Amino acid sequence: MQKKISSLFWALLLAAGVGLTCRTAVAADEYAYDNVHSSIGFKARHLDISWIHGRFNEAEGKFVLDREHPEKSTFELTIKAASVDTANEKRDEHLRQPDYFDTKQFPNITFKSTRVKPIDGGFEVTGDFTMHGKTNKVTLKLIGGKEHKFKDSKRVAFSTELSLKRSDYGFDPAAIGLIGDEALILIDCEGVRP
Amino acid sequence: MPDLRLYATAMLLAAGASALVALAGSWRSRRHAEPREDQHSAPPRVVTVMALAAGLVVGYCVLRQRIAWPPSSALDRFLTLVLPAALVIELLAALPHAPRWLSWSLRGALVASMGRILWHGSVYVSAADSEWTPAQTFAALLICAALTAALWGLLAWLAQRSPPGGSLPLALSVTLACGGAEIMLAGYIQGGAATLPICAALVGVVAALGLFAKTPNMQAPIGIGVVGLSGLLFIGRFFGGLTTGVALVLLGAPLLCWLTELPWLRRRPRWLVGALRLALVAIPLVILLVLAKREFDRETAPLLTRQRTHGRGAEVMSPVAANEAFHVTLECSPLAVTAGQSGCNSPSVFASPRSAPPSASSRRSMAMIGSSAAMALTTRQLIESSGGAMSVPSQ
Repeated sequence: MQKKISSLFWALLLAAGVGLTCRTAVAADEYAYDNVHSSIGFKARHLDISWIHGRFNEAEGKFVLDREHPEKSTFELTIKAASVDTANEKRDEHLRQPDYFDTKQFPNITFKSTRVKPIDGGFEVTGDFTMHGKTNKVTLKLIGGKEHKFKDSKRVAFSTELSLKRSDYGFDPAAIGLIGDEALILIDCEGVRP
Repeated sequence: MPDLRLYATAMLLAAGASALVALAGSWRSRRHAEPREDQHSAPPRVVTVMALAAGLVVGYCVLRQRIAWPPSSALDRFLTLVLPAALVIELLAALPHAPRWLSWSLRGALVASMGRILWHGSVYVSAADSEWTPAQTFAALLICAALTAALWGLLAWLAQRSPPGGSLPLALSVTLACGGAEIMLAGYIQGGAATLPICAALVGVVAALGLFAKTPNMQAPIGIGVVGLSGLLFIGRFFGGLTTGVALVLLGAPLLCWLTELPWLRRRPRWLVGALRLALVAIPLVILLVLAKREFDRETAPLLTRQRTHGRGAEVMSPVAANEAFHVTLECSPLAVTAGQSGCNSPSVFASPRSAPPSASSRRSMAMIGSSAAMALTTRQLIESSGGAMSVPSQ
């Protein structure tokens, strides 16, 4: 009898362990960046009187959301610098050249989180932002994170803005002239999980 | 934006520094020469290399060329690795009793590795983002190295065959200047500007050596010129917007100097042969520049001007003309008074915009007010008030 109780105890403990493991696995969901329903725009000052708007058409990334332990969540994004689009092909060609993005040398603009903190309405994410071969620490406020089930997939979305100075990323000061040093990157991304 | 004054200053100072070092070296070597020696003997070749190095350092310093270390871009690698390596190789080759095979082996190694050095970390060789297969990459590197080696070998051979003179380095200098302009017009301003100190250093050295020596040795200027030309064309082609055709014509242009080896040209006076070489090289370069300028005016220049369309006609106003139009508009438009009454805290804007340079904040206010005023005026009023600075749109 005592042996049966002991076996039952160990079986229950194992089941609980398995259940807990499964629960942990479920809690951390991995989402792939959905290029179709996401947008990465930017704007930069022109002659210090107006803003030029543009966008990057190609990006990839993933984010792992751990609802129970948000600090374990991770965010990664890789933007293809050559996909820059300002609605003017000649200007885009110029922006791809070494005076600006130098896309043959630095094809990717990347962000990789190193610290995640939950805040009201989203997450405060600190990470390494690499552009033009230079990496700087930045902190983003990701607003959103609400999950939505659509057909057979789960979706989650975030929005954020990042203000940066091009001179901090090794852009040539001589090329900064007409286009202002400061630029604003606007990210609205949607992640999808089957 | 290209700063032409800065470029001119950098070229003048680079040429001056090269010439000064070459003259000082030549004068010193003449003072220490034996009295029986020919007074027009060439200065040591080491002096030529030092003069070139001085010109390059001064030129790039004046240009405020930013060089990152460790080098991250192709231009950084060219300026920190390739060009210094070429100078060191030419310095070794200039040493007395330096074996000829050694100097040519080093030159060959530099030519063979230059493309790979410039491509380092780029999409052409990076495994993750590679645009080409390894076979394509190898073939491209091989072709580029072969072309550079052919140019270097043929010019060095021509320098040995023909009467010595500065026409070959000058031909390379002219090609470098045109190559720089082509690279700039194709959209890579810093890459184009990087050709200018090399071009000026060559001119400085040739001018200085021409004063002192009847038989100057031009191997070092030719070597630096070839490495500079091929390296910067490589960067312009693979990182900038230079097309393959234009790059090939620029690389091949100095070889037109070989035409003076035709029998009926070869025995002409030395100055005539030199002038002919420069003229022959200049012909394709001028054609290329005219074509590039036309394309720039058609495709890129509109980005630098304000373009407005009215009806069927279109008018383009340069930023200067637009600024002038704003000033005139502010002075003669009643809207300016309205704008002033509507809370503008910069009365000096309305007093006399041209009498004193406005502050940055008032310039911004002026621009905002000016733009609203200008939008309120008709096109005809703008044209009249700007004193015909703009073209009349076709109706």
